[in-house]
Amino acid sequence: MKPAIKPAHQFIVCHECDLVCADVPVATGEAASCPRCRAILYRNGTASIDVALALAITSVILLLLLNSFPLLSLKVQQVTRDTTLFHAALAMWDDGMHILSLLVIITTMLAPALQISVAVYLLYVIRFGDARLALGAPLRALQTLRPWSMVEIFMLGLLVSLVKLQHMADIVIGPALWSCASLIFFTAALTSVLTPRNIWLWAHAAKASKAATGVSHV
Amino acid sequence: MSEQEYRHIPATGLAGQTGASAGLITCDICEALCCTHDEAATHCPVCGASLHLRHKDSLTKSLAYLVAAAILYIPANLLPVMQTNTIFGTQDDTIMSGVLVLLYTGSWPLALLVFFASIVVPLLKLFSISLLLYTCWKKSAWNPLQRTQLFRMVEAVGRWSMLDVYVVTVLVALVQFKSLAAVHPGGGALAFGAVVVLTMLSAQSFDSRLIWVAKTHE
Ligand SMILES: [Zn+2]
Repeated sequence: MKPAIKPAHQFIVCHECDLVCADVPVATGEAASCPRCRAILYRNGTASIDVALALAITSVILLLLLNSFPLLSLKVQQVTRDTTLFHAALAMWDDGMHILSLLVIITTMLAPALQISVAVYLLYVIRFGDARLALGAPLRALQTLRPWSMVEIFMLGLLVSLVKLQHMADIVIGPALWSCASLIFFTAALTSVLTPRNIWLWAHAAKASKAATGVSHV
Repeated sequence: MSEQEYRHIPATGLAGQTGASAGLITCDICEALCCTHDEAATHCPVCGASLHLRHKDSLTKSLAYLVAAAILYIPANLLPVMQTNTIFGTQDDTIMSGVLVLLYTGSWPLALLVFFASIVVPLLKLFSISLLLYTCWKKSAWNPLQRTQLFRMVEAVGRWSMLDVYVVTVLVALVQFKSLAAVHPGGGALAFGAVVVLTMLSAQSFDSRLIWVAKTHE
């Protein structure tokens, strides 16, 4: 049988324990949780799509800064060595650790870049374009990418390295380290507002306002 | 999306039922409530994601990744994760010796952090997923809420084990001062990275809804 959609959410099936729960309105800032397994079912956040778009664009800028500038510089006697994110991964490659180098590139560069690009695409499509246009595939990509983007863990790795290196050389903190720290903050904020539920709410609202202003759509 | 398409979803009387028994499923990706009356996988009409009442071959896949991770856990801890060449000689560091170096030369909170991320978390994941797989295979009704919370914890902390891989990456990239000092990655780092990825895949393959199966058949 063809599955059917119920656009007005009256029920929600818990993703974690499969219990059918009533989809009741919750107060702003509060969350509804599954009575059986206590999973968070949904939140009533106040974030608007414009806030999400601003967070996404800021993240793009910070990501570009993170990838363009050195993270740390090390000075031993007269020799200075610095490294960008990409060069750090390349050093691993040059040392014969190809798979590990790829893993670092995927988790610190590729996954975050894709995640943020997809977020910008989604928000742009909903905010300025046809709300019914291809939201499923990018949303799917976003959910899949999420656990593989590990900028915050990389940042912690940088801090541990800093401590390990402080005894052997002079360290200068590069601009990318600050970008990295801010990027973690902005992507965390973006992730918390860019929930599937919010995206569909924004998409429905955009569609409704278009219908109200008489713009034709399919 | 006409009214008739979702006519067979009753307005009330679903409280306490499971999605499987009510023929309802909330799409993982877009959170649309979908109706499936057969167990076969179908696709979400809103976003096109495949819908499963249960992940396909959840226990088998999860077990396969877990076994691979458990095997690689041995070289990950025994082989050196990095080799430091200085004018004073060559030093091989395993994960544990890295923690000890931090404890003596760095700070104990940082040593504790690395110990937790690199040693406790992977072990905890291996044991927890084994426990979950065994109890679900036995369809045990034992403490489903606690087991669900254990699974949530496994999913939340799993990625943080990448910490050591990143520390090695940064050190390899920065500490390259020819004859003075150089750091090279060791085979342990590769095995360790593989353990992190495999345990993440194992947790992702596991379907937490299986924890509650015994409960609903009582
Ligand atoms: Zn639940």
